[in-house]
Amino acid sequence: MLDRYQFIKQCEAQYQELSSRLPWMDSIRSESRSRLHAVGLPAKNHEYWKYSAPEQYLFSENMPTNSRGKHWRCEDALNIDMQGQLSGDSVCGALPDGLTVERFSDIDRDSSSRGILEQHFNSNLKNLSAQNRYSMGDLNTSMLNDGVLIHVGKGVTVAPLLNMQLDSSGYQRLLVVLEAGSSLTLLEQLPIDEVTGSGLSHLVESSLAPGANLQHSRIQPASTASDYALTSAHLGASAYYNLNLYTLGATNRRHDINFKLVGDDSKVDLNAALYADNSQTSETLVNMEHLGKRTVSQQIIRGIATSRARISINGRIHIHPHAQQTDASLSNKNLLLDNTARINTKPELEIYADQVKCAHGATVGQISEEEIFYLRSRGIDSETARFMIAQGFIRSCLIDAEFKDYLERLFMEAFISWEQ
Amino acid sequence: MLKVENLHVEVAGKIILKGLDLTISAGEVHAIMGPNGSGKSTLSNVLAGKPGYTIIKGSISFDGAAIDELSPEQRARMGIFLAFQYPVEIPGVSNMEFLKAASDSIYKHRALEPESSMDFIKRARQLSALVDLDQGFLKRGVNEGFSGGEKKRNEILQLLMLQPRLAILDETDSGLDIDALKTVSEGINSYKNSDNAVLLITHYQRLLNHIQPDFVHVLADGKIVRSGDHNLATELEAKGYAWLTDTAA
Repeated sequence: MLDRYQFIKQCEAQYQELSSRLPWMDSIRSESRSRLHAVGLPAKNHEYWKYSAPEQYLFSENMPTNSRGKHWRCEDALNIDMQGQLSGDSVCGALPDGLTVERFSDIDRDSSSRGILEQHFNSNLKNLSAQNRYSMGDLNTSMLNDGVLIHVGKGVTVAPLLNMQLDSSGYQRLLVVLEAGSSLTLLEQLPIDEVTGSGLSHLVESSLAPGANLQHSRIQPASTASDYALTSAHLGASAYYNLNLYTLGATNRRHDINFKLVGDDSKVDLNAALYADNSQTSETLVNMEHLGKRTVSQQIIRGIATSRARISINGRIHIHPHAQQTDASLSNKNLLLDNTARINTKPELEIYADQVKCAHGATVGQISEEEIFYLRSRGIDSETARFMIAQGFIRSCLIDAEFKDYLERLFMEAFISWEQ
Repeated sequence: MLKVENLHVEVAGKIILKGLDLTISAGEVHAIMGPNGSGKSTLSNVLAGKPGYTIIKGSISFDGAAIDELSPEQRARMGIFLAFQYPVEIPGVSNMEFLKAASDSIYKHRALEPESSMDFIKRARQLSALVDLDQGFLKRGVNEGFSGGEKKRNEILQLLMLQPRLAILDETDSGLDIDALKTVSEGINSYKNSDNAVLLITHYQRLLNHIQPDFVHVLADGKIVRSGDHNLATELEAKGYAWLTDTAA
């Protein structure tokens, strides 16, 4: 592993090389770099990094800075293919009208997409991730070399699902722009059993114009790599964002989530199911910023850890002074399957408006002896009982998931293979 | 079938049962009544083998074999069934999956081929109708989000599915409305035959209007202080427990 000094030196070298690539991004990169210089790389003594080993995310080898390997298709329906991946069985030929998916590097200077990119990088999204706690996001941006723009035109409903296959390493970037009244279903998948690089830094920024609707799911299979993800969104009036995270453990996995409910009546539903075993770490940090009136957020986070794994969850709800009639809730239930695993959970509420509803609950428990005795009293041995109850908890975390059968299989395979 | 002799049981450092004797033969229905804190639930838990209940003196035998040292699952496989006073919720484990696992372990113990899934599901559907539970309950998580009455009916469904030799019903009547009490009683009556036995643990006589016991025992301060036929229950209903517990003391 590199020490910090070496890492910074390497980043600087990479940064210098980038200046010839996509010159219009120069100012964006340089702004992030300056901020990174001011704020510094994440360190253990930062409040939001206290459960992490930040150096694990400062990768030891040259990180690839392009994301050309990323590919996508529109699918009418999904099922499980021969490789066990979730895959479409009926593919749309061309992208539906009103949906644009383009690599930054393929976007011409004079195209409308270029205008969208620049507009978003310079306005709505400019300050979205620019917070001290997201210096990893600035690191990603300072290495910005390519990325993918997803744009849905005004009033367009994209019926098929957009299936993005992600690379398992490198600095990656997704910019999702939904114009007023549009809607999109987006699935991001990381490959199974394919660790090609040293790490992944993945940044997804979304801008939802008034009345836009984004259904966004991300599936992260188990991995032996380290990956960092930052998902940020800006919501206009009456916009709706549904984020579903299905995450198996990685050697190191951290996910920062940052929502800004700016427009009145905007709404976020966040569901996460997290599983980790075998000394893996998994961290999810949510920052829900309520700025508009009558905004609603609901977070349901479930964690399961076994065998020296560590799951950390930080759910922050921040209700700004003018965000009257906000309705925010956070429910976090966790199950420890043995006494070597650890789960840290920290709900955080900051409320500056006086007419709000805000609820939070966090529990960390073990399989209860009562439950085990109940099964045993029916003839089931205690090992099987424990196993069934753990499986049941995992299943109950996925009960409302859209790709429930697939996810159950993915989670159960991880759990069963570890248990054996 | 069941023979309990001079049973002394300690729970969390406190002696609850203090020399209990009870013999149950096949074909019999026994009712144990008694005031709060007399040890009724301790008796049912210790018979089922719940961890934390220590036998300090006396013995329990089932079909002639000592079971004091056996695990709950071993006792269940031999044919002891406890219907819980407070059935436990197990989210995400379907009722059907749970029952099949239980049934398979019992069949395996008897060195029998497990019942085919088709037959098992068919039987479960028929029996769930008998206890007035919608078939949808079979797919739901064990007792997950069930009402109090549904949980109790689910216990009876399990009893009917697993067909144990001895059914211990720990306050199965508590918290039931009149209709549910009737359904539950019908379920128990349909289970009852000359090869099995029922031990009803209850506070009230009203369950015994539906299921007539052959023997009624009064448990007070960890001992059986009076035994009789079903008329004893009627007498208790009229007089309360005090006259018996006072005599005992």
